[in-house]
Amino acid sequence: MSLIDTFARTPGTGTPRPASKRRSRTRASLGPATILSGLVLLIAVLWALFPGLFTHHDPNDGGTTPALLAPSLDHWFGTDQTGRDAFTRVVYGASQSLLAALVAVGVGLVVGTAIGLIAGTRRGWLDDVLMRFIDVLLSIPAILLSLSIVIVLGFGTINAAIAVGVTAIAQFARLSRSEAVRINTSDFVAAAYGSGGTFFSVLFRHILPNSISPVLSLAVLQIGSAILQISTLGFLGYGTPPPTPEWGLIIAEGRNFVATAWWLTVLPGFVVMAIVLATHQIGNTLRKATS
Amino acid sequence: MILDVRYLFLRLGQAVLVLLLAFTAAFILLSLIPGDGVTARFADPALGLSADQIATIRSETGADESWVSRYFLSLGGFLTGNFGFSVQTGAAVSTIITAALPSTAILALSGFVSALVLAVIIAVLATYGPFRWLRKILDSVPSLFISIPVFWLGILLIQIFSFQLGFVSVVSPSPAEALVLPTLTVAVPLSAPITQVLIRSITDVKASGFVKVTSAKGASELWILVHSVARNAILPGLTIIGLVFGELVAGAVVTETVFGRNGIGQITAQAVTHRDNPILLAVVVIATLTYVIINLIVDLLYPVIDVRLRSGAGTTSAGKKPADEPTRRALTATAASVGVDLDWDEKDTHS
Repeated sequence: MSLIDTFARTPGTGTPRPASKRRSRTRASLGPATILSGLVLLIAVLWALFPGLFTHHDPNDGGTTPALLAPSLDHWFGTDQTGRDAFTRVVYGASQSLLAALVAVGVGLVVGTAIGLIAGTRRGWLDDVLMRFIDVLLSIPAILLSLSIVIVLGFGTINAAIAVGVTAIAQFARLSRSEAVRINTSDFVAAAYGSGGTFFSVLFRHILPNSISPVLSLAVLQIGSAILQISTLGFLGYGTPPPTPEWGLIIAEGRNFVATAWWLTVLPGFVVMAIVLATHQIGNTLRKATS
Repeated sequence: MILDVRYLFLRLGQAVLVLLLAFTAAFILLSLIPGDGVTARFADPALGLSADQIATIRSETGADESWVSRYFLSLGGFLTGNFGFSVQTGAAVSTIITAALPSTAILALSGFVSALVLAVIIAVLATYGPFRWLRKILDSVPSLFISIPVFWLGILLIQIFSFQLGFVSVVSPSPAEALVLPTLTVAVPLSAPITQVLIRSITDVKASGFVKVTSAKGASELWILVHSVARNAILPGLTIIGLVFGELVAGAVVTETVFGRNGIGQITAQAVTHRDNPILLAVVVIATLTYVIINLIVDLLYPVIDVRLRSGAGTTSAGKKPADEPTRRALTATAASVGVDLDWDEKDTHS
């Protein structure tokens, strides 16, 4: 192997991989399911950013609209007990739910990756202590861990998001640690230390950039489960207080009319499921492309 | 020898350490940070208690001790089955939990068994099913199941089976009837990771050399499925069982709330609503204990089920590795794809 090869190869994959081969692999995995998922996510993001483009009703005030109307062309998901348009509430709920999911994954990503990288590069007793801490996080069932944090922080969307984020720390820490351990033993890290690099300069310039891509694809994969967990907390009543629309809360409110107005629970649920499914699909495609 | 005694004690020690640390973390979070629950409850002017009376209650319940002695008092209490008192009702937490435990245990068990049955059916049909399109559809069932909001599934089932079809009566159903829909609600999301791993391991075992040899010798598909594939696919399945306990707990909390079943899950949800920290602390500690015990048993069962993992058996000497390398990689990848964290690195990269 020539000197250039040694430095040009992607660390960890062992053999240098031609760029063209890599691109064709990525393209091959872009099936119709992935494209459809991308569209679903795009719509969800647009709902969160510009809800007014998708509906002309008010999410929190039904006005004079009759209550519990069945779905129609004017009210796609029908109307709820106070005459509010259910579809509008789902559209406006996107910003709450997606923001919360981003906060949750952000907490898990930043804290978890920091722990994992430090543990994986420092090793020794610090590694042992940090990883025992991660073991503890993993041993407490996720829902109970997030409920314990919600009870301390108080209710609300951002608090629920932080609580969900803490349950994701362990996975990010373990993945980034194993990446850091692998990269830390490679020649170019030894070379970086040899040419005068300090611990933090090597950490930020070599280990972090080289270990980040699998971590980021885990982050995308986690968005879906974060949306689910946050909507669960919202459903239980620990998220946004009413009347602010949030997906879990919308379904919880529709629950009282399960016998007479099926649309208030069934249709929003399908929306949540489609969006979670789409993030899983995209996350899996990314994971296959980066591993 | 099936079980290595040194390994047994090592794993037991690890389990006790993790439990102790988990208790400490939960204690700090739920007992130390919120401060003094007694004052918060009894300082309410509506109760009309004098400062002296509050002080007496505080000393009786140990609330005015230092945090170190509160920690050890609480730890000693948990070791002897005394979990303190509910802030909301004043009843002993152990009484509340003992009363609710049987209902949740039944739900968890029936949900888990149904998930297992569902997973085996889907996995076998997805790998041995009659049509290619059917196998393809079934192959994507796990990712669909993992994306369903559990609370929504429960409501949907009530809607379809109780209100539309009238199969399960809503008003005063018999205990068995009342268990059907909650069981399904718990089982569907729980079956997803199990199915995923079973499909992967059946596919791997099917492609392996010894199955091809058996097939070449003239064994039928069914014989191979039962004798070779099933036996070899059990091990990864066992691993995932230890890991889905968290899903089971989440399923119980949500399902019991949706169906109004009295159980640990509903008590937990109510404890959070009423800020009843002692109850939540007890639930966290008991659930963590159960999780650690289940995983300990699963770990210790590996060598019993798979001869190759017994130390000193054969020439391969696989040691304590839970599975061989390709299976491990496949498992980790599939588990990650359904949101379960499988980590094997403790034993080989930690040294």
